[in-house]
Amino acid sequence: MISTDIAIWIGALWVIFAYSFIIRDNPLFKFCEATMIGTTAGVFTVIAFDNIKKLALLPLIEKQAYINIIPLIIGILLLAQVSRRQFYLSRLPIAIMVGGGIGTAMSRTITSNIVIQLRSIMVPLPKTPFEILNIIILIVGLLGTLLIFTYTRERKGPFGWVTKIGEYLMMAAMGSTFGLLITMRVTYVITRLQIIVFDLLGLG
Amino acid sequence: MTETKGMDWLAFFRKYRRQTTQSLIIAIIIIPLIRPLGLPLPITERPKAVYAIIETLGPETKVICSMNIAIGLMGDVNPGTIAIFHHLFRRGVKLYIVGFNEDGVSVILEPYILAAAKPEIYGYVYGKDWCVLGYVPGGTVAWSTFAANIRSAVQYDKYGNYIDDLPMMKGVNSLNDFDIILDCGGDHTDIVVQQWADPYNKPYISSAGIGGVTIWLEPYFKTGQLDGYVAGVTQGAEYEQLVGISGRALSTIDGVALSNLFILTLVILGNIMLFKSKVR
Amino acid sequence: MYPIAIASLVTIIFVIQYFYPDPTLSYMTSQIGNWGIIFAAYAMAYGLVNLVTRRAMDVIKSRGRNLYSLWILIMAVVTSTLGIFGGIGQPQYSWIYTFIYSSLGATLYSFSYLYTASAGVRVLRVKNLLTALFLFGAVFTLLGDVPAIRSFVPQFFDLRQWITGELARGPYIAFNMSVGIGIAIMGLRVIIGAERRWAGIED
Repeated sequence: MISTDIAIWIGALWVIFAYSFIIRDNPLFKFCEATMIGTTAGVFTVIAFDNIKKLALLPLIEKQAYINIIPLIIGILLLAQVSRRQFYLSRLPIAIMVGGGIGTAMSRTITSNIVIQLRSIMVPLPKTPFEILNIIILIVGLLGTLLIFTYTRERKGPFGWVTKIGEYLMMAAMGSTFGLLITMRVTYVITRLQIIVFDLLGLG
Repeated sequence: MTETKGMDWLAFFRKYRRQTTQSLIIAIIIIPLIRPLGLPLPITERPKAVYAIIETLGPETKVICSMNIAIGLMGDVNPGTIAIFHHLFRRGVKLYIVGFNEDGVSVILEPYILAAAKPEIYGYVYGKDWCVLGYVPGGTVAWSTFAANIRSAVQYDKYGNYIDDLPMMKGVNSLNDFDIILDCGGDHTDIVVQQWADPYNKPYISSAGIGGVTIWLEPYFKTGQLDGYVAGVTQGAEYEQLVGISGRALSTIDGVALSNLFILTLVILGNIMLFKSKVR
Repeated sequence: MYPIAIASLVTIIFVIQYFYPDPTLSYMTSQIGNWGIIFAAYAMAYGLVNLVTRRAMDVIKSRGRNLYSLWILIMAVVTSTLGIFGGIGQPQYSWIYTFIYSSLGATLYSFSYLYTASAGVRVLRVKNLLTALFLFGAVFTLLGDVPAIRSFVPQFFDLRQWITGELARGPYIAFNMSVGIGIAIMGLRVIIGAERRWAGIED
């Protein structure tokens, strides 16, 4: 039985309009694009305003947190980017953002991305031939991939062989990621088509 | 005549290759939606690991759930997330939900996740058994701020209630007060590991998209920083089977299977044609 | 000079706070974190102004004939007005967010699969050893993701698990470490003031 819920009809129409691009570019698809661009701009502006309200304006007004005047003023300096002469003023808020972002990432990444990853390859001695093979592949793959990104040395001799094997293993790894990507993205299409088949038309 | 007909079809396909391939993919996906194939589905190790962990939880366990499903990943992540929520509610845990992207708690949580895994049918009361602490903006810094001191990141829940008025927030001040981490989304696995799981030494399970398996999920699972994951709609369907619920994941995987086989067929045909043209 | 020093100082504060969580330092880092969000909000607001200005110029130059620019303008202004003056919970804004922004966004994002699939068919060709290995990784991962094949020939799934879990493990540990080393080096460059491109200063 065909649904009479307007929400389902809207969802189904978006799918039909967007997928009409398979045939060729057409006004229905352009309408979808324009709607998306406009709504996204509006939504992000609302989120921005909401953040300023929650983090600066409300604490300033309700709790007299006068320190929040500082980001409200410094933030305005960011808009100086549009002017070539006053561009230098925007460096102050950018400096604070860069410092905060890189400081947070740097302190944690050393532990999680380097130390613990290295610890993971320090495994007990392998017992079976299959485990020995896996360990060899792991170490060669790790060293080879790391050494690929060394550009200060010519790839000759043993260094060249290790980087070559690292390249091969990296391509196999990329292939598996590509396969997973295809599997992942097909579910998005299926979910959208389920709106038409299950929700709108009541089939299945 | 037959040869000319064959060439016309080939010429047509060469001229409209993209349109033909994409239309055939859509048609192949729609068939199992209308007429399910009922293909068998064996259950794999990673969802079993998550199941075993959740089976050890009880009514006094506090679970912190970061709801960061992006709109584009809904189809891939929702089935596993819904099945895990059913399982958590069945175990009677205390569930605290917080979001660090705009979509998770604002758009996806209520109409999709909670509409399917209804807490009220398990006798859950808001504020006493489960709560939604809302969206915390700020990226990586927000995760660490929340973990160190919840009240410095969140003062009101999603519905405007002051969080100290919620009975279940009594004595809960930082990530130290939770027993297990559940991340729904998978895009932030590295941040969860760096900001929550490692510094606070908590068990961590994830409901994620399948695209992150080689990049984050498997490497962190192998190092023990991630204790189990349900990735993608196939593992979501497996988890539905484990928990004993019937969701949309089972109808989705038939489409996944057919489209994967179709793409493989085209790849094999393409390689045969390439090989033949090289031999010629 | 001063912005470079400020970036360096803020980075040092964050790093010290991680290893020595003093209450004063924790307060400073959480405040600076909030400031970053406020600055990003200003940038987003500037983006809207930019979009509205350009589209308005399009509409004026075309004397209203460019309907798409007009529609973008209408949607941007209506959505932002409803959200700013009514709040995020306002019914009409919520309606636009759920039925237009999220629904259409998910649909357009799903569209990328069709291009990934048709591109994949062209990319997965054996031209040399590297592309053969790429094909090997992709094909056996795709086969292993078909549950029916998995139940009749479980070895395909074991092979897929081996490819994603063991074969790909070394390279992806290397990627994670490279990312970590890269971030650490970038952090050190910011601390010593060697990284200046963010300020628009070329090396």
